[in-house]
Amino acid sequence: MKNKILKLKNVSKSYDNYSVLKKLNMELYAGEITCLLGPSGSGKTTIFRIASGLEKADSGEIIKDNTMRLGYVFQEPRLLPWKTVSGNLAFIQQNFLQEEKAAKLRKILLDMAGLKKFKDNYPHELSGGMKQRLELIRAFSIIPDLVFMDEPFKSLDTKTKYNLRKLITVIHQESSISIFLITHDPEEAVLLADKIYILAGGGKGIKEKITIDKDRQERKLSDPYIYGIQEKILNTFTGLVKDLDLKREVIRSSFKK
Amino acid sequence: MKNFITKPFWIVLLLFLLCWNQLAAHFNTLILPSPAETLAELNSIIQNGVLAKSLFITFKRTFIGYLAAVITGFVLAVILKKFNFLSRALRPFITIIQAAPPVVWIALAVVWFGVAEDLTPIFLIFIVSMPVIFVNIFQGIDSIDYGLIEMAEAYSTPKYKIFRDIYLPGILPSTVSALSIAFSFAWKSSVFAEFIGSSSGIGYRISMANSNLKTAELFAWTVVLVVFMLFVEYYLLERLKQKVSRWRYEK
Repeated sequence: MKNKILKLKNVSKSYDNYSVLKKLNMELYAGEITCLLGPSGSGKTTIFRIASGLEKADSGEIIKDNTMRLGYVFQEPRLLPWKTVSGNLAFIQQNFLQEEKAAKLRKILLDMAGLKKFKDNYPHELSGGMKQRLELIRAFSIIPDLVFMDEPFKSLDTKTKYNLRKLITVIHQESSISIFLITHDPEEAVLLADKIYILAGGGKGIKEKITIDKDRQERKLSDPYIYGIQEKILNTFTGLVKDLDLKREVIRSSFKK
Repeated sequence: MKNFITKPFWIVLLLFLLCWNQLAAHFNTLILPSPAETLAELNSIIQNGVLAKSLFITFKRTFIGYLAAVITGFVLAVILKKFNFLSRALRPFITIIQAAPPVVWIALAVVWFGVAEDLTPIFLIFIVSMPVIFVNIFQGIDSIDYGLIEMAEAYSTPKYKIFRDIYLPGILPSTVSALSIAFSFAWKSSVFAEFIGSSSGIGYRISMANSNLKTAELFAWTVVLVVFMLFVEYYLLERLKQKVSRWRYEK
């Protein structure tokens, strides 16, 4: 049995009387990739912010070891424009690691992310995908215990997504750092996660919890087991589509001239 | 000076000088001295040492007043941004200072300090350029990306590092433009104050040339003022701007 490293217990949050999360429960285990999957507007970013401690919940408990070192991957890369690629990593590493150790890890991460040649460039000189990779390796550059990722694949093209996924997989395999990944894309979830939490919209909490028992390296979207899970996820999303089928009669009559 | 010395500029300058020369031929020196007469006068104030002495005096006053304005404006902006109640109490006063025309301040300065050698010009420079610095920095702090601060805090970055590596570079672009605008204000106020309430400096020399109807000398001093301003704007501040633009990103 793996150790629990983070637990959200009956967490609720509302903004301006609009309830985003209602009595939400979930847990993360050491060394696992946990995915939180949900449509846009379902409160994913709110969970990211509350679980990682960026924001306070209105009620409920967040149980975690406060000595844990946390990494963050924000949806939009948050890089200092006036620091170089290497400088952006060093700026954060200084808070946790000795320079010698930091420099060694920095070199390896930059190499892995294909940013070695750009280490002395400034962020505005990088492409969107490169910035996102830098944002990602910064989170790992401090040798964290747990990394929070808020839709790191959003607005990236297929090839860049693939590279980023591979990067996460390799780092995770070789470091066994725990990851909490937030995404709206079932594909990313089934390829990466050990556990998937599916969030229902409208503050209704967790709708479904799925565990994937298959080696990450052997996962293929065409594999019947993986495909089955993807189907299952899509089915939980299709409330709206079912509603549409029931309304066909009304829709047809409304379009009559 | 790179982006200042461009071909089109020199061509237009040459045309301007030709027109001036042609026009001056039709008028009395008292009304419009020729470029040659201006140059001769310039040469004469260089030779007799008046130029160096007056330039130094005016520069010294500008520098003191400007430096005081920059420091005060900066500190005030940071403090008012930090404490909202102070901001609500004091922010309008800055606008009031800005709204009062410089001539009012110079009139008051003469009443308060007399025709004081240094105090009157320095006071005017300060009162005119301080609000410019303040307003630019005040708005500059607002334009800092809060996401960066949140990120740095999440990664347990010490406060002094957040100030040094996020706040300061974050307001650098607006600081540079504030420094540039405020300097031209300071330089002009300095001459203005000397013209009215001082007995030394370039402004005083212009006032003397004016009352003695030495228009060529007045032109010569104007050339000095403009050239110096260009030097500061295109040489000193340009260097600073280039340093900033190395990482400056499109918003």
